[in-house]
Amino acid sequence: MDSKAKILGNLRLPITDKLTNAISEIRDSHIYRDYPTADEDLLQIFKARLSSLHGELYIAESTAEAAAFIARIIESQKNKTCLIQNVPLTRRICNENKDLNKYLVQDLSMDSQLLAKYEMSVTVADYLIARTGSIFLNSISAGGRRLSILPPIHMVVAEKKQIVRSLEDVLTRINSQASYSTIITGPSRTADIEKQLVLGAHGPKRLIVVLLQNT
Amino acid sequence: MKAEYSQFQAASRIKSRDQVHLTKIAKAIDTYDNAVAEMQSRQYVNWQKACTAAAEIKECALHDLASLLEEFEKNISGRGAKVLWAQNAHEARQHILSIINAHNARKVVKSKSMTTEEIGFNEFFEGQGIEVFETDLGELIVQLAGEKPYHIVTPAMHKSTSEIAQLFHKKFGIPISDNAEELTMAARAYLRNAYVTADVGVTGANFIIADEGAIVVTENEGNARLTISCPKVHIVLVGIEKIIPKLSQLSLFLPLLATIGTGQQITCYNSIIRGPKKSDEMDGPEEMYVILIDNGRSDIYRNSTFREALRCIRCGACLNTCPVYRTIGGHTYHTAYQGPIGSVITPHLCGFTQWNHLSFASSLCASCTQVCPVNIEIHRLLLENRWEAFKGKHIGITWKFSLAFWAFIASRRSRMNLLRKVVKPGLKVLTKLLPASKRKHIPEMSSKSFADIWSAYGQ
Repeated sequence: MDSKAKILGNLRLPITDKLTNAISEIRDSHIYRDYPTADEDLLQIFKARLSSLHGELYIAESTAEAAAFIARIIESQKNKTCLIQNVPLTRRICNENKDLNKYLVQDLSMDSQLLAKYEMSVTVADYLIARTGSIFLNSISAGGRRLSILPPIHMVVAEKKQIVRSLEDVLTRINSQASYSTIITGPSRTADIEKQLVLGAHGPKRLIVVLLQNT
Repeated sequence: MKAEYSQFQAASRIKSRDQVHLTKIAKAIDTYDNAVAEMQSRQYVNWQKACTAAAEIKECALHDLASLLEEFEKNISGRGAKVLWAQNAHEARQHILSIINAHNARKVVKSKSMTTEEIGFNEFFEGQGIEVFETDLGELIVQLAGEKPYHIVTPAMHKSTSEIAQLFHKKFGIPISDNAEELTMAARAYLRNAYVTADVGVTGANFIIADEGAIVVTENEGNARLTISCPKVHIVLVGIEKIIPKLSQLSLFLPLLATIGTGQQITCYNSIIRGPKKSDEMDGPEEMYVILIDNGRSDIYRNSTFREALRCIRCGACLNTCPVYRTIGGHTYHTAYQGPIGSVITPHLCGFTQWNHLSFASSLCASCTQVCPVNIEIHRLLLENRWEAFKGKHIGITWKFSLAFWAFIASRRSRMNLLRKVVKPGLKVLTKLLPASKRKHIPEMSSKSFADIWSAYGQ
């Protein structure tokens, strides 16, 4: 008998030992005190949570404003290196500022050593989660697994309509074909040295969300 | 006396009198306590109700464990991951060794995982000439120091900033610094190269999701994300009990674990991994292996008294609250899992003969039970362990004789009274002669017994 059969064999219980009571569905709105109410502004909650975790939020009134902001951040870097995921939303932004076009990249299958040399990346996301100030993205929609974790600055471009209340809204909605999804809540952090908070342990030191207000 | 027990006693004696150690741990746990209490009250309508919901889900998952594991295997295999089963640590190591050999791998990056501690991963693979990099900062610190994790959540809790500064100075050649940020950046720089050049990434998993066919890794630093993104092969080593039925249940479990584990609302990165890189994806491991390890868990499972111990989500709360853990420290246990839950499961996983003494490493104050987010009655299970040991003849003759004698005395009031009359005057003298009486103030023993006072009071 192989190991699988042996282990599973050991886990089969006699019928008398089965639980009969079915568990009730638990909703985030019942559990969490800070669950956003119907009249609360989700963007304000998202902003407050994200900034409490040292994440940054830039609200852009237009794609032109977003383009100018992204260009400013790239300019402030030492080597001005950046990879912008090439998708419709980022293309629309880059069209507003032709200088940004050179950062757009389609093929992100480059070697990790090369990818690690870039100072920042710009990706899109699937959802923004108000209650926890989180960003939800996956390996197909956000240009693979590495783009959002390897460069020291990760910028996320999103639209206001992508904000949902709580994690539950995402988990019950997604039917992801991607091999990988992640919930990102603030820049990389650690408190392994005497419980002192340090940002940028291994992942991005800065997490910047650029939110398009009117699209 | 067994070597493990002697070692435990000797280490306890040293650690419990080491003031520097006690102060460091008390400070770390105080910080933890405050953060947890604040997050519980800020985030939850009713923390206890959330715990009960989590306990129910885990209990249901355990009842359907076999079919849920099969559901998981079917779903994740459909996306190209290979699921392997390991009955014990040896089999798990052999599975991993064949994968590593098949890929001619020389360099492994590993994110924090207690199951890899359980199978002695680092010792074994370093012995095979493989370079193993611990990537979690706390784990890296203990690896560089040649030590074992002190705590299942915060492995380097026992190290002060200056000790880490000395260590990094020696290992990385950086100037001695008392700045946590500078030290963290030195570790970051050291590991960056490891991620991008490693052949294999190894992780554990916090949850196995049956309906989604996915594993979930929760972390703050990003080291696990890099471990599962850069190398060409991803190996997951996870205990069979980590399963939950549905993906949507993460909206309960992720904040619950973050709150009780570290006092955070949710950890920085929660990764849901459904398989290796797909053909239309830009990157990710070409191969993914999930090793489901039993290693004594199915024995606990078959014993309905102990089954609830498998609900554990390894949050570390019972360690932090335990007066024994806080006094003797994590290393004294000499086990992969320390503290109260470690004391419950280690005798089952590794044998009562060597590890039964841990069942007694408790004051039975039940603080562990009180803080457990999945309502495991840890202190009761410690008592059950003692009973198990008694039945299984793992208890020495001295204990047996003493217990029989006590049963004889305590079962009859008259015998109790008699014993008291005989023993009390002797005890009075003895307490004055004990070496402990020089270190501690031992109060004067009353000449009247409680029973005497009670009956006088009644009249």
